[in-house]
Amino acid sequence: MEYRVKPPGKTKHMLIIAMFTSMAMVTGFIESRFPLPFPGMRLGIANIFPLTALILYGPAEAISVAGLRLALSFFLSGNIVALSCSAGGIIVSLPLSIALYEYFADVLSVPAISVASAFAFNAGQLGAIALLLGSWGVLAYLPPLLLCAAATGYAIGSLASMLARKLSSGKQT
Amino acid sequence: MTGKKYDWLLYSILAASFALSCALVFATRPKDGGLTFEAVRGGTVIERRRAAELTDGVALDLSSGAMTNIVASDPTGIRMVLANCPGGDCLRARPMKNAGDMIVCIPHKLIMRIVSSSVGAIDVMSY
Repeated sequence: MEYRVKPPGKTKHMLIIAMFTSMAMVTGFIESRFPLPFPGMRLGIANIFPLTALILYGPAEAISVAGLRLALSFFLSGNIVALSCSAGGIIVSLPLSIALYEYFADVLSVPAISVASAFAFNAGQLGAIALLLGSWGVLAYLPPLLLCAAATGYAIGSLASMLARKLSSGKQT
Repeated sequence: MTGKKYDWLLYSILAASFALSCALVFATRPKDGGLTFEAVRGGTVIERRRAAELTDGVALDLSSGAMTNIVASDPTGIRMVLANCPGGDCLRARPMKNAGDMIVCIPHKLIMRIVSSSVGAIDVMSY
């Protein structure tokens, strides 16, 4: 909890959540434009913002940013399948990141927590897809997705940690 | 950006789960032999035929109602060539050539895969 800052005033608190949500949506949109070698594979850059919100402010803010991003992305795209897949991932990964950060932040680094969260996200997402398709055959995608999650999770955790350190330094908050 | 005391433990657990997922996929991977192309929609097999029948230029229409999915074979393998799903991830998927290869169209609940012919001796099954 080394970067946790004091709760800001009500208006500032709302602005911070709105800013984090909008940045998560924009990065998610930009990321979706890049072709990736494996279907379903995403860099997950947008996850920097819920994770930073968790580090700086706490679980409620992280849930708000992730939930708002999910809901607004659905309202903008209208893609129920994408919503189900993302929701499946978030339902598994967000509670895991919160539990790991809130109870084990002293002994686990943010990149390690982020890698665990990325693993959980991919497992949850594939579980949701398997339920949608009515077949567990898609779990064959799990090993390459987990391999990708290890790299992207570490990078995202490192970036979130750096961003939280900068924001908690007192100049920006 | 230094690691903490028990990072190694978490990484070990994650590495073990990765190894377990690889082992499960490897263990359930079809054995080598004649290959069969199979298309499954909503848990039901809608098309099954020997992969050898899908030579260059042969196309299969797997469309259902407003859901359009057409696969075709070329020298790189069997690939989705036409789909009206949002996103079009299945159109960008790697062509299927070997046992275990798969293309999934999530919006249309369609799974296409190459399996070992030893699983079933049915040549063609479509309805």
